[in-house]
Amino acid sequence: MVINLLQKINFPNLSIKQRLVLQLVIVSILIAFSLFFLIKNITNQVMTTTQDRLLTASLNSIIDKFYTSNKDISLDLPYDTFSLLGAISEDKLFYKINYNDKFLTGYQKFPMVLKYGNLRKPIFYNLIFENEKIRVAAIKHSIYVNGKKNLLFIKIGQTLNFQSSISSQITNNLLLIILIFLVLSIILVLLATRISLQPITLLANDLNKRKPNDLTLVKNNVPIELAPLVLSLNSFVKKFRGVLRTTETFVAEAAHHIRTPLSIVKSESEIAFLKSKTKSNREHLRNIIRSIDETNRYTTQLLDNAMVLYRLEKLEKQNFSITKSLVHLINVFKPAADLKDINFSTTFNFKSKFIVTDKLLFETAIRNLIDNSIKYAPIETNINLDYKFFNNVHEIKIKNQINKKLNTSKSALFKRFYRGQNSKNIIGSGLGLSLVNEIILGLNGQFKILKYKEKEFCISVQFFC
Amino acid sequence: MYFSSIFLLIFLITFKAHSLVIETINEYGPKKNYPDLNILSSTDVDVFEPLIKLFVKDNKQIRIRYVTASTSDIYKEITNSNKSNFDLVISSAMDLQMKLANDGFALDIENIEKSAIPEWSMWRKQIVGFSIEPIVTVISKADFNIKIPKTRRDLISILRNNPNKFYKKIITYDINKSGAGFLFASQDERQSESFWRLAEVMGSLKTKVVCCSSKMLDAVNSRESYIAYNIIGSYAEQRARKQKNLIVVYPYDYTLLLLRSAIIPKNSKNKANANIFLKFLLSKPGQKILEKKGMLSIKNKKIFKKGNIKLIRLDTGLLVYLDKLKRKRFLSEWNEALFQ
Amino acid sequence: MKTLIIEDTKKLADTLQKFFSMNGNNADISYNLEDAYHYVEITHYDIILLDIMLPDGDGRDFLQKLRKKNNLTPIIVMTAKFEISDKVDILDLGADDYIIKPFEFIELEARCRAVLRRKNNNHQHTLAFGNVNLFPQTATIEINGHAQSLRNRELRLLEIFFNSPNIIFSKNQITDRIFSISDIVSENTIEVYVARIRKKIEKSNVILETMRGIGYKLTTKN
Repeated sequence: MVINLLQKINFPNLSIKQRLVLQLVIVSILIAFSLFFLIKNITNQVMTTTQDRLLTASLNSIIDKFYTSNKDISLDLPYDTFSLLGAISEDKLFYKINYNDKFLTGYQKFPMVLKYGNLRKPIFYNLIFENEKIRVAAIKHSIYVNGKKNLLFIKIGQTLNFQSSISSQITNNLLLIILIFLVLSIILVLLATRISLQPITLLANDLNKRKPNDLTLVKNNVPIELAPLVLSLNSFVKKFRGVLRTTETFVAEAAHHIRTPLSIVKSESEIAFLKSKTKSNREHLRNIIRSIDETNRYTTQLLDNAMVLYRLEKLEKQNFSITKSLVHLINVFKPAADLKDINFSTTFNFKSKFIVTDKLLFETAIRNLIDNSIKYAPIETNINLDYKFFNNVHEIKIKNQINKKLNTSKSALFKRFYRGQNSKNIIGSGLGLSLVNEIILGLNGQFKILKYKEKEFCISVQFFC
Repeated sequence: MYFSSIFLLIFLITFKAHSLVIETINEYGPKKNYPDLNILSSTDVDVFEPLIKLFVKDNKQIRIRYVTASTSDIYKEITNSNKSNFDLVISSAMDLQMKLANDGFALDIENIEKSAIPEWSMWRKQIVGFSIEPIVTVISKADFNIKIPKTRRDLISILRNNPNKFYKKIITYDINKSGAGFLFASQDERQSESFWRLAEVMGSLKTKVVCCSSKMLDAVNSRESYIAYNIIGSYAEQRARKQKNLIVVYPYDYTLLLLRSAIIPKNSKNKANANIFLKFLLSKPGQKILEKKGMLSIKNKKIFKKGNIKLIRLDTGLLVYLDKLKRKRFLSEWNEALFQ
Repeated sequence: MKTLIIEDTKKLADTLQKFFSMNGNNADISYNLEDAYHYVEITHYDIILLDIMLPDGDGRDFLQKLRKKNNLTPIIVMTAKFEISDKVDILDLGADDYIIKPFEFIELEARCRAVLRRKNNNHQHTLAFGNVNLFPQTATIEINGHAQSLRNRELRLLEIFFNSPNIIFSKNQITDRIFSISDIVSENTIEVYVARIRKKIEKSNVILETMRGIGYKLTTKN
């Protein structure tokens, strides 16, 4: 029944900890109450038994004091017995003794009883006499007078001060103990719940600390109860990884399969363009080529994204020279930059400073940034790559001029597929900056846009040692 | 205030119908038709009067009636309770007070600080002792040229050795009539077997029995008796101060110490006043004024050094000698011994 | 310039070949590595365009093998994949540059020029016309000992004229050679560049003559 009750107390809106605490506290209170009443009951029983034994002892001493005189029976009531009976607790004393069916001595109006016990086993009653509750021991005892058997009916009763005074003491002490027990058990409950829920808390913290792209398996040093959860988490992660892999493969394959025909279309269109004579033909072909370029950019960015997602999960750290890498990337873009008469300048305050990180992702990020700069920089301007290593921080800055002011917020620039206001004539997918941000964050770096409002655009990428 | 006793004589007559034998009746306090506190006591009025007067001074609105009677009459009065209307019952018969309380004739006393009085002086918040009394032997100085008996044994041998001297010269309580006397004798029996030997000897010398301590003291003072056995100590000491013939002896073998106690009878209509009076009775000034009259304060500790003091315990043991059979047996034996 | 195109996508290879021929350059095609090895053994090429994914093998093997044989022909790798998830850098294997498909011809051309320039470091390649000397490697022009630096587009423009003096080039032809097809080029952009060039060569005996309605040609004064 208690378990049903506990199951009902499964308030849906409470946390596990609160539920646990509530249930345990309720159980504690129930136990406390039960204990209280149980102990009280036991002590009451003990008290009654003690009193009963006293009464029995008194009966014994009374029996000893019967004597016959002149064929008559008489009783020399024992003073000490009566004195003792009341000594402990100032209880009132009543008695009645009948000899056969005749009243011998005592209180005539003493209440009747149904049955009498005997000296070895008196029968006890709870009666009321003179407005007092009394505990009565009743026996009948045979006594031989002149060879004839006679019966003595003896009832002796005592008020219950004996019980109640000690009872109230016990109750007070008991209440105190139970209260302490409750307080202690509540403390223990709180402690125990915290400790038992710790694995969950640890697991939760562990999962919270993860970066969004973290797809490493969850460590399985958890208690048995959490093992299924961790197992399913991990299988989910594996599935997701698998999905990612599949997607990545799919995307790569798709990209490849898109690119090849795209390349063909582009080159054919270019040939046609170069051969075309009329202005309108040239325009049409130019438009076709622009569309191809746009498609190509999107495909590239999508592929990059997939690659980054996958790669961030399993970084391949390498020790390489930042300056060497930057120089290489500049060389890669030089022809494209030259077409727009854009010059690269570099300011490195280190000839060759090494960094340990995923080289591929690093270069992808920088590549995207340089590509971005070239796209948006007006012709005959300068793109500056600045690198410095200071206070254990690698900082790469890329500065270029832009045609128009950008009247947008920084956060908007990071949004996927965001195209700036000055990007009308520029082919791009808008994935660039958000991708760079993801990569840099994944490599534990910081990506900031320092200037973007005036006609200058400056970004900063920081890596901490 | 004493004038009102004339009016009260009329009450006496009506009380007679009640079968209470009133010894004295006095009223104190403001003039009223009916008392605010009706006290029934076995203690002499001269002993209590100063206390009552002091009380009435501080409690100007309470009119007190102080009625004295014998201890057994007091018991009878309270147990025929339908007509009685007393608010406080004072008696030196501890056993009778105990029986009253045990049998449900007493009300709970309120406002008594347990720490203010010894634990043996209160029973169940229904009986409270306010003064202690040693039970002594008084001897006529003039007639005792022999060694003064320090123990009962001594007394027995003196009596046995000088039968002629002490023939008809011993006086004690008639325990058939006096509740107090019965108490003393029964407690004597409890304490030692020498009691019956003493009783025998006393009987053989035709001991005189009377109702009360005062009469016994008068007898010794007038040299009518040479030995008064089982006398209330305070009375003896008071008298002995003035009457130089009286020597008070605290027997060495044991000296009984009794408790003068008070109960509030269940029919009382002035419970509150009774409680106030009791509180005063037990207070320092109350106790002091009793001591002035020769009584011992309940808190007195010196008395316990006077001899082998045996305090009669205020417990249900006291009921035993009041048991029909026991009492009958005791009395018959005592009578047999004393009246040979 | 003799070019070898190693590409398995036939259409792409053909259009590349067409492009090169439009610029007056010879290009051979090999659709697989086996043929490529063969070609390389027989002929000397000025530049090789190499695809990575070939039906009979990885282009990188070809690259490595060639370099092992001490063949130093400039190679530009054409790759469809943007990221190089292969551990070894293409350049470390011996390629001179790489370009990602799909690409613009003009970019390919620029890379070829750059690669060739680097390769021919020893002798400064000079173009001369009249009393003007053009140094593409340093992007300078020298008139009677007086040197001026050139911007990239200016250089490119002069290269076209110096390579084919007294030949008329239409605006379109010039545009196609200097700007990317996707760039929006306004009518007077060319004129702006022509004006700049004219300023730079005004002290020489060379002029850039406007042929109204037809185009421009580089010619000597008088």
